[in-house]
Amino acid sequence: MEDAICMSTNGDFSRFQGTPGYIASGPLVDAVNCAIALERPLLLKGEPGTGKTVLARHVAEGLGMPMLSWHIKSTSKAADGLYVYDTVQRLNDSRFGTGDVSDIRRYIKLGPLGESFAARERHVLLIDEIDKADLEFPNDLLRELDEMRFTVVETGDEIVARERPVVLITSNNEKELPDAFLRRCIFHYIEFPDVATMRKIVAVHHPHLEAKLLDQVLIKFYWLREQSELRKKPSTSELVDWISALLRSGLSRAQLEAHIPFIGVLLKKEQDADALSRFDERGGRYPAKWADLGPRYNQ
Amino acid sequence: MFLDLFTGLRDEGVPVAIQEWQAFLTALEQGLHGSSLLRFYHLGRACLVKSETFFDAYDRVFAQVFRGVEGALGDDITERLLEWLRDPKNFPELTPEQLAALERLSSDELMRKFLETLAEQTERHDGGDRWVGTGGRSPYGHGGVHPTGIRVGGPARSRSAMKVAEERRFRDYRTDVVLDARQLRVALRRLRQLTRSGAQTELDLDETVDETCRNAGEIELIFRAPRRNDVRLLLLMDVGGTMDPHYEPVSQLLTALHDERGLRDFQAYYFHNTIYDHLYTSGRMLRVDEIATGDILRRLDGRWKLAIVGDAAMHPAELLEPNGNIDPRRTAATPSIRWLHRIATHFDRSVWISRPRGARSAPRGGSGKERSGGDGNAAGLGRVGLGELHLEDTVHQAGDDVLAVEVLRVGQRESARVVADVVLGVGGREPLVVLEGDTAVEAQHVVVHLDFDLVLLDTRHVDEEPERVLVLADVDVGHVRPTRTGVLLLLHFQLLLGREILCSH
Repeated sequence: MEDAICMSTNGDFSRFQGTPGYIASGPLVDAVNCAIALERPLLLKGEPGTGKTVLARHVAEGLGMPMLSWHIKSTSKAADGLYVYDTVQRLNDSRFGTGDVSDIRRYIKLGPLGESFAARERHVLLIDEIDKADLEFPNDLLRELDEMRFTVVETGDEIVARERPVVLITSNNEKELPDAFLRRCIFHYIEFPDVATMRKIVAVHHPHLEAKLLDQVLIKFYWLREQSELRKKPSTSELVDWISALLRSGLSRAQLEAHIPFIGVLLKKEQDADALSRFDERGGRYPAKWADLGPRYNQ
Repeated sequence: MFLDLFTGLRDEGVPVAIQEWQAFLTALEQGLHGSSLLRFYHLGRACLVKSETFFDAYDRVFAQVFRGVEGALGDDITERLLEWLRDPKNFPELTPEQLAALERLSSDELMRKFLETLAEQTERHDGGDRWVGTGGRSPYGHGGVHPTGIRVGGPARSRSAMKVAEERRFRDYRTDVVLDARQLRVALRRLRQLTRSGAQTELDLDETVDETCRNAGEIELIFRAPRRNDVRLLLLMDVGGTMDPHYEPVSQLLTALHDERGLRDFQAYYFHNTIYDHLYTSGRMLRVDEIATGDILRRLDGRWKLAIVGDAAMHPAELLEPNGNIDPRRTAATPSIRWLHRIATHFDRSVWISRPRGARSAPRGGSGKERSGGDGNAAGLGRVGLGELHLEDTVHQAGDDVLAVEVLRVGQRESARVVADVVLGVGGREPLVVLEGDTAVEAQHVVVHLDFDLVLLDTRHVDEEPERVLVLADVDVGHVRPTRTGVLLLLHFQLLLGREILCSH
């Protein structure tokens, strides 16, 4: 019994520690490692722009594994992820007489999931935006994800995964996912970063940003997020873009205290931009200190 | 172990399956929680809770099950503990052998024993030798005196799991909605009017084969437009005070329709009590959300199908008088009844879905009801009373070509009698009775006099002849779980098959 409980620092557990380019919270790192250890897919949800897709790339980097990605569209079918039998090519070849059409294997092309099984080394497989597809799509994948094998019907070959890929699945929460699918996954919800984490994230992208300017930027940003009138709140990636715009335009901190320039980078909906310009017209004042935002933001 | 957590979560309605629980236990066995309660909390959440709507429930259950555990437990507990254990000064009464045994105790062992003891403890224990609690000589006591004790309770230095759980940051994510959106979508997939229109991207196999044969074997590919659902639905909802609890489920129902790509296009607007010059794009009905009703009529042509959901509980003055709007800031020169006329004539097919009157004293006068389609009869705002004799008159007026449908609730024997009396008085076609009961067994208790089978309604069962439909009961959208049968039924008939509906209240 003593052996069964090993300390977490040895063994395979602490494989993913985050990478310099991606600030991952403790729970997220744990969830990734848990998914790897338990050999289950990791399902990631969160607001758009919180870095779900980017995480897969960094996990692959952190673990030193190559990455395969499968970006789901609304027309995607589960079987396409495994393999596609290119019948039209075969038909054309037979008509115009190039190559040996009797060998079906030449026309079987593996999809991302199939490739990750057939590969010699362990891959990180990203299934991006799984909720975009049809309602039954996740259920169609269940058996393959469990058993890590599938059969190519046309040739009778069975592809068995040599190395179990690390599967990361992201969802935008547009549709509910079926229960049977959820049972098999480890789930993590990427919360919107708090101010301290956000500072680190910004530091990754803009390492030389002056501290006071960063303060002002964050004050305005979190103030905007607090406004309930906004239909779409600005996200992390929009903040990073906004800072780039501010830096390039050479805006000073004093100008930033008084108003919010380049609002189109932060607010993408017309009603939101209108709401803000009405706020301006009414003579509303923007916050300039953390204290203006309320007690939750003690900095 | 930790079964309290499992049962607690299930009691709160979090759907934790045995499979997930086993995965969690496997993870614990592998030591993935790393002897930290905070990581234990996160591990449990990752394995057991698969939607952020349940995070709040998880927090509450966790806080309750593990109350009192926190305190000196932090990430560095094992280090401090080991240090303390190895210092013989702290244990004056132990013999050398016992001290040696202590030294052999690894931190994992200690933590495991601690958590095991916690799990076995079913109630708070003060005093005594073994349980976690306050006082006493238990190894894991609060303020107790014991050589290897871990002090439970007290301030935590690092971010503790209990704090995290008690913060309840996910309260806003809860959705206690009984109606499951996914179930709805799966069920509503059947509501379709499929036409072929648009770019021709689908291979028409039969035609291709034909053409190829005509072409002496030279392959000729013929394409056709894929089928898509051609239903465009405009939903107008009453969000007056009385309708407040109900609009959520219906709006969900119909958004589910649209999300499922079951509808070609879907728009929803809101009004208060009745329709005036403006409609609103959001239920909150702020000034910024106003849209002129006339604009909507201009933009959407007659092909759109209109569904109005409301209890039609407006006062006659609101309906008939100019400036009848109860909100004095929004004056409307046109009486509401004219707007209703305009809307009803503009769209080819429309339906008004309402909730039952019940015991509420609602004004009986002047409420607009269903609207017939097709024959352009502008005076379709009629009223039929169930149980009153009006019904039979209407039925007899309708004549031979009426298809009567009764949506019965299980247990309504009264309705069954009315059906027997009135419906069977209708000549011509047989009535179809659709029962809301969930099982065939229950249905038989209701249908006492009638001697036919339960029919699962499907558009295929009703053919193309233009007949009118007499519905003898309201579609009840008042319950939190509106019956799929009821709403689907009305939508089928009125919107897709274009039947004229004479409705009762």
